Amino acid sequence: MPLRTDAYPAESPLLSPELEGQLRPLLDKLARPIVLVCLLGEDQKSGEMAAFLNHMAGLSPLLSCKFCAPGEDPVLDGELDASMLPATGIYTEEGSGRMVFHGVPGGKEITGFAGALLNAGGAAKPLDKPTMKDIAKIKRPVDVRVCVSLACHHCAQLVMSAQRVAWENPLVTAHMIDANLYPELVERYQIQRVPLMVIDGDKTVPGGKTMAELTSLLARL
Amino acid sequence: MAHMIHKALEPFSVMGYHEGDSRAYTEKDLLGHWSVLFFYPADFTFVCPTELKDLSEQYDGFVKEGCEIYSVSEDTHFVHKAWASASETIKAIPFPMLADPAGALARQFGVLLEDEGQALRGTFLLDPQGKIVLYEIHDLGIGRSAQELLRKLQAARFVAEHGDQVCPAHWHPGEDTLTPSLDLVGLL
Repeated sequence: MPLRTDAYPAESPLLSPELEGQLRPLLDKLARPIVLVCLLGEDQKSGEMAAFLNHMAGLSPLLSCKFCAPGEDPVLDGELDASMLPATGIYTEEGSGRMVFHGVPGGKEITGFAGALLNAGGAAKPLDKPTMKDIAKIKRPVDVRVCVSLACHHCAQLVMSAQRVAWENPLVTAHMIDANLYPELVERYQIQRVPLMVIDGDKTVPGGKTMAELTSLLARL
Repeated sequence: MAHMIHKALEPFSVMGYHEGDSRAYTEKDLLGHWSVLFFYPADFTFVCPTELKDLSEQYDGFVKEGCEIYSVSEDTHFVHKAWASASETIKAIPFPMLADPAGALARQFGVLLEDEGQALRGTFLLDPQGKIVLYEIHDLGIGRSAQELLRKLQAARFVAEHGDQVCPAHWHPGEDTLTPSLDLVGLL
């Protein structure tokens, strides 16, 4: 049984009227329905994320939410990685779940979240042909996790690039992780600077990357 | 007032004392690896041995980062040697102690108090090409932290190796979510 969305607040203090005003024109560009699927724990950040998603869903008739508890659906647990809650995947009728957010996308990460919605909604800026060609060169499954802090603009840009690659190439999954919420992750990878990209769980790549640098790196794996 | 960031090391030659031996040190000794020049006012004072002891205790961390430390005062190398003989703390210092009685080094780095013949507490981090990448100059009574200096060295090395496309992370578990700011909207 999915969790009831109306069990959580319909609005979030994170989305001010001013920010709503900036988001609405972007969301008006969405061309297809998007479901924000979120695995929620019982922690404070999960509650915060549920309210955030409810509020976002209220900004466009093409956005809706589905909340689940970990353990309900093993496939979902795997796609979204239930070990780091809250975990939110962006889904369309065709599926996906390859663009995932761990934590609440506050600070600069709201841009990455909006970017993921535009990707899924068929409303992102088109990429040039060489970039699309580079993305197509990635021929094996790749799991990209971008560890961020919410105040870091280099992080948001890398998250956007990684998620765009994930959207365009079904072999790629891209997770944004607010590292501040997961101390065991910080400890494991000794994260002192962000962004830190973790590829397939073991290869770490520090620092911001342009789209060209990212696609080149992923294609060489 | 002009700053000294990216200023290149100028030629110099001074005597230095290191673990019982004395020899001449020149700018060439500071090239090819990261270097810290650690100025302090004078031997046989109280705050200085505290700072130098702190640096000694963290020395392995600096070596691990490919960095050599050079302490500098306006004393002669004979005074450094006498201080090492008189103090177990100074005797145990693992890095070279440069002697700058003519003030050439202190003057080059802008820390010489001409009237007093002493150096301010200045710390300079030089990259392997001999360029200053960070520095701090304290008034005489304000001590420095070796641990803080090591963190800065690590950051400087990181930027040298990976560019500046990173932000330092200061983890504060439990802090409030940052208010969203869509100032990167031009990217969308």
